[in-house]
Amino acid sequence: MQIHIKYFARYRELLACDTEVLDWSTSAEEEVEKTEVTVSDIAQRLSERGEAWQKVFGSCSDLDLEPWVGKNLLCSINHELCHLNSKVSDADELAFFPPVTGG
Amino acid sequence: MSDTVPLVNISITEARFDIGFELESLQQQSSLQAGAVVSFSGYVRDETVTGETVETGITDEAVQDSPPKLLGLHLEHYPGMCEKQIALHVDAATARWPLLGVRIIHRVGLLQVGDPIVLVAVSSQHRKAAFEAGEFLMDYLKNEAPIWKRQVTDKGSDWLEAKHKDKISLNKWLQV
Repeated sequence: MQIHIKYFARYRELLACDTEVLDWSTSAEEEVEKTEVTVSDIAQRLSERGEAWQKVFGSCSDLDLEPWVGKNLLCSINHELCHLNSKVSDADELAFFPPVTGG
Repeated sequence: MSDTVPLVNISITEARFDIGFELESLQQQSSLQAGAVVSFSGYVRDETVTGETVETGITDEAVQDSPPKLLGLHLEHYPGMCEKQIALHVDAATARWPLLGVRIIHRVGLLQVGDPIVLVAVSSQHRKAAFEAGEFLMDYLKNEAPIWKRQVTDKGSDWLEAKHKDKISLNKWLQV
């Protein structure tokens, strides 16, 4: 399963990455048994990449599941805000970003 | 509700915009029933940056020396999602108020102090709907459009933190 991931603003800079394609099937053998992959699973995987990734994704499990309520890390799937327990499918576009400050 | 389908035009652009031209165009392109055009335009304001809004990139020593002076803003957005989120709220506004036209422009890229950042303009038969819908659209744009501001000062730069008061401003639209 391939997931397109985008990072914006502060997190794009912290992770030195703006976009990537994550090949879930080959990078997570222990998940083979699992039928559904969630944003939380992906965040957990990303947090294992090193210090900066741990800083951004390490405390995901502590986050409220409700988006847009002043939390520091927000996520969308295919341009729609989502939750940590939202299901991710093949070819989805996932994005991680901080609370917005436009206007 | 009016039977007229409202004219909707949303732009995310690096280009500077002419507010007078946009308002006149909105009025001219709206139905002749449009008796009111209300707009909000936001600008990069000249201000002294406090330590509370700039966390990194500026040392305490530098701040003590003299407060950082804002030179401009760098705005980043999520192409695709940004337009989609704004369009969703325009749909919500047109369902709630009898609007005849909506024009929204949000600039991205590097902006200097004094530059216009955003324009929200709406037309309707009467002013009350236009005032309310304009405020509704601006409140949602500030809270939900995926756009981020980076402050550029004479002593460094950093991302702006989201303001809780902007979040609170949404509450009044949920209570009706």
